[in-house]
Amino acid sequence: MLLKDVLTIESGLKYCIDELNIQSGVGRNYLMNLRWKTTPQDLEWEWTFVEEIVKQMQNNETAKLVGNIQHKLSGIHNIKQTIQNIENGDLLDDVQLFEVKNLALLSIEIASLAKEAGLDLLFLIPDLSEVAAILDPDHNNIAHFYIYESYDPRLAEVRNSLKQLTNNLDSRRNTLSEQEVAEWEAQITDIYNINQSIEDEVRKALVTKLSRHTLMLKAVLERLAYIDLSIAKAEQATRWSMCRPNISNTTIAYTNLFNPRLKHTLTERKQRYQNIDINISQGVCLITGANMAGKTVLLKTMGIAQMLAQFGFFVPAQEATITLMDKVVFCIGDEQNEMNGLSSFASEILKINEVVQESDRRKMLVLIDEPARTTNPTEGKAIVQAIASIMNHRNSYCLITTHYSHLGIDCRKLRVKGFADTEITGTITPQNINQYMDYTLQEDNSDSVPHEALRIAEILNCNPELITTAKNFLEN
Amino acid sequence: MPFIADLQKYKSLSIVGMDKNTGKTVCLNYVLGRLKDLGIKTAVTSIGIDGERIDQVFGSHKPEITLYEGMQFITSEKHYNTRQLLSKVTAVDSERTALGRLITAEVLCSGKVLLSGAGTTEKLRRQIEHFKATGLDITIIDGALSRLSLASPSVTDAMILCTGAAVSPNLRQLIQKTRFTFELINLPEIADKELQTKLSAHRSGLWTVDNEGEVHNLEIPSVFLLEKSTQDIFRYGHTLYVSGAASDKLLKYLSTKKNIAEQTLIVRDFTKLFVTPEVYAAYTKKGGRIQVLQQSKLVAVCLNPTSSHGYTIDSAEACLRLSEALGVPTWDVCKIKQ
Repeated sequence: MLLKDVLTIESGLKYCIDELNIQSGVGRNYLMNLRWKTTPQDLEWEWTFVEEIVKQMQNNETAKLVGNIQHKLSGIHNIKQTIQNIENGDLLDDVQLFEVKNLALLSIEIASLAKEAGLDLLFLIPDLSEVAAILDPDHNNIAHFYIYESYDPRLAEVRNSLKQLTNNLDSRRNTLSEQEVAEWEAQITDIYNINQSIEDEVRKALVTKLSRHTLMLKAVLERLAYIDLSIAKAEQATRWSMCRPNISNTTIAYTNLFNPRLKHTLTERKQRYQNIDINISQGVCLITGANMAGKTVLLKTMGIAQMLAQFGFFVPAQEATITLMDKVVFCIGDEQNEMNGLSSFASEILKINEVVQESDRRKMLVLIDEPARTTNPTEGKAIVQAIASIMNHRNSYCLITTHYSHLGIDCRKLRVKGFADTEITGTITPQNINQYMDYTLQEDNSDSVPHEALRIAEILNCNPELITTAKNFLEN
Repeated sequence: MPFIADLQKYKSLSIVGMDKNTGKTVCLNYVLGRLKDLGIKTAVTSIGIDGERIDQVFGSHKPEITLYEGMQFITSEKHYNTRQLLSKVTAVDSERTALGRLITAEVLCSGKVLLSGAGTTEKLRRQIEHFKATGLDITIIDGALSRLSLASPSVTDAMILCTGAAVSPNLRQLIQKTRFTFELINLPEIADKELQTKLSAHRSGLWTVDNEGEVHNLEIPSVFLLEKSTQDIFRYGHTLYVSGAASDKLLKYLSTKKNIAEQTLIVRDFTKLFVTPEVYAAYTKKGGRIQVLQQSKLVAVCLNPTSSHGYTIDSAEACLRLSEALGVPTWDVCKIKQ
């Protein structure tokens, strides 16, 4: 499973990825092709690297060096095609040779900056000094390129006569007849062609020399891409106060978990965002709570955090412990299946069917938002009971939100506290409703669910007739 | 050596033509030759494709651009590889154009090259800044087709206008058309510097200025929605600032207003005006005035007496009559060299 394959599943994940400050095209390419990792060693290695950079970013001196590395990385171009050309033995033009030289010089500079920043142990950038030397015969150490005279003694001679001829022509052009100018120009073209053929000989020799270094060039390109991505991860982790997860075999637990996109949006609107503490383990955990209590956001955030972690990112929480999963499954109900001619119930139940079937083979984080809410409550409730009782005995970790009560399933139940009645001062509007909501999760041993739908309808200023009529029906 | 001394005052220069085949390239070659003689550190690039051996539109012969030792230039990868000069690559852009990436290079031995540059004025601006920062005296932008946008003072400090038989084989018409463009280029800059700063900050929308110099947003996003507006656009004052393009339609609309004689229309610069001579004349005749936030500095008017269709007009007479009509000297690009 690659990152690019799962980006469309959850837009909140895409937000996190889009917010990365990656400098180079190769870095972005590397990012899209990140693999889902399921072995602790792989992930610990990734996270350790990110952590190293995070530490360097906390110190002003080294943070500046990391900034410099990023600046250098922005000059890295993807020259895979050129490397391929070298392998094929094709002649390279000046622009391609410039690109190879540029990569060599930049990689040397980045390696030395990394060393200075104390990142040398992990930054194993292959040394391209030999490549740089091939393309920098005059030891200028500047990223410019042409076929230098020092490559071939004949070049200086040819070019001198070329210069003399052109200068002479320039100064005498007005005194010459059109035919004389043409003759003169023909002579210049001849010499220019001689220069070109000597240059081609040099190019051929250069390609032969460079062909011994193609593996190194490829490795450098990949390493720089990796470094670019890792710095971007670390920079985001610092910016958003994310943490390195611990790996467990029995639990997924977060302290102060947050949804990056929602937190950002609310902060921009100068509204409060409440972080959540949660821990779950194998089996089913039912989540109940009033409408607008953030249950769906919680499911999405759990999914995003798990995915970020297993692609080697830090997670949006103050503390995190995760159990590695084979995959994350979202049944959030906002999938667009109308196009397939399926009703919302049909597409949902098929997805749940998939989960049930797959869950005896794979360990998954399953996130189901209000299953069977679009069908009749009698059967709907029975379906939820069935899902919960089956999934409770599977290897997966399953979070299910529901409004059905008295399910009679012996599983963990969490409830969102919901409205903090006592604190309400002033009027509640749809815009400020979240200020009065307490999103804290608490253990719930009862089998009933909150009945606050009508109250919320009232707060949302629904038609009074609608509300009174509903209340009347409820009482009778 | 006409007008070259003037160039030394500017950090960037655009060479734009009123039409294709108005001699931009000949003019550029003249300028480059003189700048070399004066030892001025020069960079050259173009907008879009230019300098092609065969004209892209008419298939007629076109002179190539000659660059001299020490000059910097930007061209596309494709044209870089067909250059007939010695040069070294100093930078490669990561963005791709239709003709490959843009290459920045320095000439080691003079020769000829085809120029093709950035497609947007924004990119040109960045390139000019780059050359300025690296200590070059002047950056010259060769125009493509009849694009005038690069002559905007927000892009280049000064401009050379090229005109010629390609605009019209009829001398009277040629003079009329050239004089109209000349008039737009020389539209007066607003005198109030404070107001100039205030208005420059508004990159979109329509604004009016009241008698106290206060700027009011009309909340109309574009001139195309002007007719939909039910409120009087002159409710705050008689001065209207249009941040984007101003068209014939706008001038016609403004001409119908009863305050036409008190009106002042302000546009960013002359390249934002897309108006025909007839409508412009009707508007000004009724008393309407147009001013610009920034005036372009016109260094010279050059004339190419031959058109790609084979017409040739009398160069001496054309230059003389144009000079009289415009009040500034006009040079024949083909004869200027001698």
